[in-house]
Amino acid sequence: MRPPFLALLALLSMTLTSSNVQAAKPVKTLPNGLRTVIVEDHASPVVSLQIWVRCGGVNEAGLTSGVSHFLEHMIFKGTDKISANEISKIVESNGGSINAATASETTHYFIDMPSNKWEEAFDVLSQSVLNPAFPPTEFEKERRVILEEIKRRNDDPQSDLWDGFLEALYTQTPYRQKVIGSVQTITDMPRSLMVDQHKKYYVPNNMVVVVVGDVKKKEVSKKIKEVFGGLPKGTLPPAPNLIEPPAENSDVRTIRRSAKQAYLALGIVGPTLKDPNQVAMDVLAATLGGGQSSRLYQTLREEKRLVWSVSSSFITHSGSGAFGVFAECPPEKVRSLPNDIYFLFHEIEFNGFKPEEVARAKAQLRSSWLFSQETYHGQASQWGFYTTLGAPELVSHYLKRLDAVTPKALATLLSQYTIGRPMGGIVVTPENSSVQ
Amino acid sequence: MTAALSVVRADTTTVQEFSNGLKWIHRTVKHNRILAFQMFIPGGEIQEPVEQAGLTQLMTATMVKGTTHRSALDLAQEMEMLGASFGVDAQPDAMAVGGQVTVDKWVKTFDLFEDILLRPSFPEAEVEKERAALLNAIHTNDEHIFNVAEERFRQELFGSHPYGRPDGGTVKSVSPLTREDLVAWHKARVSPRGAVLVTVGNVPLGPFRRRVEAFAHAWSDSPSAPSSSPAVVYPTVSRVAEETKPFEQSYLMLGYPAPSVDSPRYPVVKLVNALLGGGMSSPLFRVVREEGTLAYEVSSFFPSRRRGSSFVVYAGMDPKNLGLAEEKVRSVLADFASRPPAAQDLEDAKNYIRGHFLMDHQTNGRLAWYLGWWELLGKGFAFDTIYPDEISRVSAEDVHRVYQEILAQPSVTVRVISKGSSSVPTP
Repeated sequence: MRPPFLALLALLSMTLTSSNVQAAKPVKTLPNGLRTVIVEDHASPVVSLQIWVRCGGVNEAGLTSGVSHFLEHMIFKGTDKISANEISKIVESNGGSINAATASETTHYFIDMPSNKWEEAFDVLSQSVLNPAFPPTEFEKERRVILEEIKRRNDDPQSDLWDGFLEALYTQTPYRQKVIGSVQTITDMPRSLMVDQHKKYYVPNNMVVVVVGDVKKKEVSKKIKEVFGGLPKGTLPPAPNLIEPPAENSDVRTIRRSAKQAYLALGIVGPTLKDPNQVAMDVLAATLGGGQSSRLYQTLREEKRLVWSVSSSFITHSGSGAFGVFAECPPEKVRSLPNDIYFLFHEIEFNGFKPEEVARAKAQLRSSWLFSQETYHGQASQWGFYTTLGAPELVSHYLKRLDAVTPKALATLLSQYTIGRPMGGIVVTPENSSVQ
Repeated sequence: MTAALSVVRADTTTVQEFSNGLKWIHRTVKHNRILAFQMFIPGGEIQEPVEQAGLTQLMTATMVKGTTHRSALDLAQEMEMLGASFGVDAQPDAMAVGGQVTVDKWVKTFDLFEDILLRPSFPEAEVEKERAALLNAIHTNDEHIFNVAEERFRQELFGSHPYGRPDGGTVKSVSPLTREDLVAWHKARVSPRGAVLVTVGNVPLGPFRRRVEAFAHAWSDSPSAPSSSPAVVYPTVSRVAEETKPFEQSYLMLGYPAPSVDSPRYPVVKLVNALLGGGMSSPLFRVVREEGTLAYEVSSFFPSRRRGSSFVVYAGMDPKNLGLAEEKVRSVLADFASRPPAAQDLEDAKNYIRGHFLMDHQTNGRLAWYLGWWELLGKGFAFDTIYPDEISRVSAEDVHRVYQEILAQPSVTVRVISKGSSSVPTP
């Protein structure tokens, strides 16, 4: 089974577009700054309604760590007019599902459902996001639920790996924050902090509304204007600095814990979302470790038999992105892995990339893009992510940029990012292993 | 020569049966450029001898690691150049080979598909690598609390039946498997008799049909028809099992025997599952998580199985809440048995199932999966359009009666107790 964190990487590193959405250029901005994306498509009688907010782990520090995620949990706990139970009941009794997710830079809420009741669902979603009541009793109950979620997360070795990876790469910028917070910050968090976070960030000029599916564009546009059009612009707090300076030293820390195998995450900070090299970094990651014919897989798993699995990804952020190599292996073999990876990268730098391996990586990325467009939820998520981070044009330009990537350009990127700078990372290994 | 026995067209679906037992179902879908393909071959894990448990999983993993025409690297390179996704999988009731590709690449992709399915070479070195990977997967299964609970639950409920075995076998059963075992298992079990190939996409039907016919012709009939799978024997008394593991959480899994997919009670239990554990408005979620704040996750499931299934409720919680959470779960289950569901609740649950069914049919891949799955299970691919109607016909009395029948059976309770926490008294 694909590890959850790798699935997350896949989502974050996905870059998307499609022929119909390219033509439509569906991003509009209301006078109050709200951005909207409406894609009308009648292939399936369903719809995905999503509201994205540019608020996440990077908008927190110290005692506020985890507030955005806590806030996300409280959004569906009712408004002055509708109870928590009614919110889920309205959606689920009409055949839909309702959920939300918080990441380092975004929080998003969605309802996927048969399209015949889209308007009712839109009211539920928008009122929940805009007018949460934050009932104090529910707040205290949800605190206990989140503390439980932290325990659940702690039981997964890959959570330690992911947290450690981000801490190793990001020493200056808030990408190192744990989105879920800590037992301490959640235990101590006052309700007022959440109310304040909502007031500051849940304003139209910091939000994106996305509707994709079996709907009439005109009707949706009218509805969005009715609900959001009268909201005043908010004054946003200063944006955090999200440009991470290159690391000066290579540091691979070890965590010992209950685990049956060793895990390695090794990487380096990379270009920003708007950097011209952003798409090329996707190709670099896919060429090095995107499939079974990739260099990392062939060398580390098939030839040297050092790992059970290995892959590489580029994680897209609006600020400094992250290039990472992720491996699972027997504990006794994890110590040598960073050197094996460095050695392999040096070898590639010396000999260059073969045109056919780059072509394979591009073919994989192209197909992934197309497959991801099959569901309305997938399309809406992609529009939401890139529009929220201020780069909706990537949705239209991605394939062109993909086509333009050459083996020579990849070799330059490899030198610049993975060889020219020290890589950092984390090893998670069983308590009783002898890894130093 | 494998002859086409019949060709039936219904709307955009073409069905063709071949004399070797293979059935091909093709659905034309024009709104995208993706071809999805899904092959189900009946049997597999359920037919493995207990001492060779894991044989099907090891065989399927190694099928993509070399054929008589291509090395493992050749296969990987060709698939990736096509941008194709490809998966070979061992499931309790079937082996599945499937994937997707853009329609313009269907010719080369079908060549690969045929090569992998019919001509795997099981190179010795690749068998060893895949065995090592499978043994590691067996070890690391213990890192996930849900897997620990679910594996123990199946063991307790299904006993010696193959459904009760750990996924992928055990260290003891996988370690001695040889290349010859894989070759023999492939010869015996990868048979066209009863196999179902489903393709969904906007391919040129004439050339595509000729290619499928050539494939069917190349696939010789099995020397022996798939043997019937054993019947499930459920426990005669309720059982409680505890596992102590080094997790921060504790976990509860509580369940009962439930009907197989060909039972008339199947759609009724799907509704029971939706009524009790379907979504955030379900009583399990509301009482245990929202009102009691006793667990982060709580839900239920009812897998579709050919020989007998289970209705299961699960919850993950702080170790100190295990006893109280179990008490609450049991009270929700008992309360639901006390009367038929309200008419509105039943209608809501039907909408919930129908809506999710609709949303799960958005991709060609899922559509291919559903069509093949119903066919494999003996319901026929057309059940995909009938299923929502069957759900609609279930009455509140049906739910009440069938649910009481389920609860009257011996149950299985599994508690995964966090190492270091004190044992939890049974409510």
